[in-house]
Amino acid sequence: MKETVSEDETGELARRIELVETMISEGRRSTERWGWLFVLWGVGQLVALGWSQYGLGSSELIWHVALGACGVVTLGWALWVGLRQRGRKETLVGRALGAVWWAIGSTLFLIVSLGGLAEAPLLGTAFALVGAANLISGVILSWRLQIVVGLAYWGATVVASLSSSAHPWLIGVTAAGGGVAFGLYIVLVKERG
Amino acid sequence: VAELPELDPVVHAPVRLAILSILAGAEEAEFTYLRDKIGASDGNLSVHLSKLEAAGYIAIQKSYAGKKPLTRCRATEEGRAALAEYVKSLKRLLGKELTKKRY
Repeated sequence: MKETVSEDETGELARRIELVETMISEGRRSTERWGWLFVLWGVGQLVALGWSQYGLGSSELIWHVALGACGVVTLGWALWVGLRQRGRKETLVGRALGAVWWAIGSTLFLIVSLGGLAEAPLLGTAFALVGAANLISGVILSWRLQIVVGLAYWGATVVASLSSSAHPWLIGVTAAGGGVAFGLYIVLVKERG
Repeated sequence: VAELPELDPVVHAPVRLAILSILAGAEEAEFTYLRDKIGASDGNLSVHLSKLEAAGYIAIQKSYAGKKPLTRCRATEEGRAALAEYVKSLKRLLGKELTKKRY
C-alpha cells in the first residue's frame, strides 16, 4: 500500500476522474436528435390554425391533414431511428422517454380517431396529455424547463375548459411556445452543446 | 499517515476505464460505437475488451445483423462494482486536490 501520491500522479489520477465523467455522460447521451419534432408539431398546428382561421377550407379537414402529416413524419422518423439504432446503444433513460411519448401519443391518437368528444373536452384532454408527457420527461431528465412546459400545458387545460372563445389563441400560444420555441431551444442549444 | 488504496489494474488502463465508464452510462453498446467514442483501433479495443471479459467485468455477445458480425458489450454487476470501487479509491487518493479542483 502507498502512503503518499506525487504531484505527477495527482494530475494523472485527476485526468482519470475526468475520463470517467466524460465517458459516463457520453454513454448516457442520446445519439439521435428529437428536438425538431417539437418544431414540426408546433408548425403543423400553427399552419392548420392559420388556415382554418382564414377560412381557406374545411376546418376539420385541415386539422386532420396537418396533424396526420405530422404523425406520418414522426412515425417514419421513429421507425428509421429504430432500425438504425438496433443494437447500437441503448440507455434506460432513452427507453423510458420513448415509452412515455409513444404511450401518450398513441392515447391521444386513439381519442382523436374515435371522435365523440366535443371541441372543449378534446382540446383540454390533448393539452393535459401533452403536459403529462412533458412533465414526466422533465422529471426523468431533471430538466426544469420541460417541467415548466408541462405545467403550462396543464394551465392551458384549465383555460380551455373555462372559455371556448379562448381556444384559437390557446392553440396558437401552446404551439408557438411549447412546440416551436421549445423545439428550437432543444435543437439550437441543448443538442449542439 | 493513513494507507492509501491500490487501484484495480484491470480498470486503471485508460481504454478499459473508458469502456467501463461508457457501459456504466449505457445499458449496452456495440463494438463500433465504443471504437468511435474511445478512438481506439479495432485490434486495441478487442484486446482490452477481452481483458475486461476475462475479469468478469463485461459480457460480450456476438451475433450477426444480416451478414455483418455484431458485437455487443454490457457491463456486469462485478464490472459496475469495480468501477465504483475504482472511483472511490481515486477520490481517496486525490483527497484534498479533488475538492480544491472540484472534479
